[in-house]
Amino acid sequence: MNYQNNRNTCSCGNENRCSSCSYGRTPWGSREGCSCGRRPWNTRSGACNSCNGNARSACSGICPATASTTWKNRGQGCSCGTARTNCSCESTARSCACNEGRETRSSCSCGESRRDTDCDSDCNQGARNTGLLDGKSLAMVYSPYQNFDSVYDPRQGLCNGTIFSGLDKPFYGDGRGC
Amino acid sequence: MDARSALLKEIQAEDFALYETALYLNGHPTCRSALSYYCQHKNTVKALRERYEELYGPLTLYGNSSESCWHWVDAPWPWEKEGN
Repeated sequence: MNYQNNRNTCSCGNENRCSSCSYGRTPWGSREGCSCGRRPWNTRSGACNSCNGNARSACSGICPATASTTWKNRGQGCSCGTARTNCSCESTARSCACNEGRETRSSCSCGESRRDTDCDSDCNQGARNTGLLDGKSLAMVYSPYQNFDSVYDPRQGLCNGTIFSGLDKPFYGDGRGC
Repeated sequence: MDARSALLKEIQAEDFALYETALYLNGHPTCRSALSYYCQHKNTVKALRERYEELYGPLTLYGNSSESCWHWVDAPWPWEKEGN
């Protein structure tokens, strides 16, 4: 198509800039501020940000789904190449997993995804140890109260290493050492 | 085991129980059971030590009871074969 004769259809609203509309480019919708070579855009106000090949489907600025990313409309601008989950923008599929020392999270920072299900069995051990620790504060160390009972005879205590039967914990090494 | 070694072993056992009780009392200073146990075994240790030192000489440098002779240096020393 001879663009030279169709400057009014070129995306460059300014005819003086249509010199860069080389032969062979697809016609552009009429708009201002876009460079030649971009796919058609819906009429919108504001900056026409580069989408690296992704087409904007609506003036809200939501980038459509690609083959590898899924998008959710959060009403907040996500730059092309990033996906939104329930938390925030996520540039990778990296998850806020239990092996990173985190339990189920209510909010994640960018780069982390939210886990909607409880963590694996190796997590949330503190939450499962209910009963004695119910209502106890986090990040505190608790030790059961030791009573003075069940004490060994002094000779037996010397042999065992303690006179308190409750503290008599024999070593069961498996032979593997340094 | 000879009588001296047997008496020394008994002192060690009673002393150990006393140390264990003292450690417990550090964290439970008002525990009557532990205080009662401590007093009882403290008297036992005192009696055993006096008996040993009367028979075999001082166990510590505080155990020299003679006013004419310093028995603390009497053989055997702990690192000598006869001392064990």
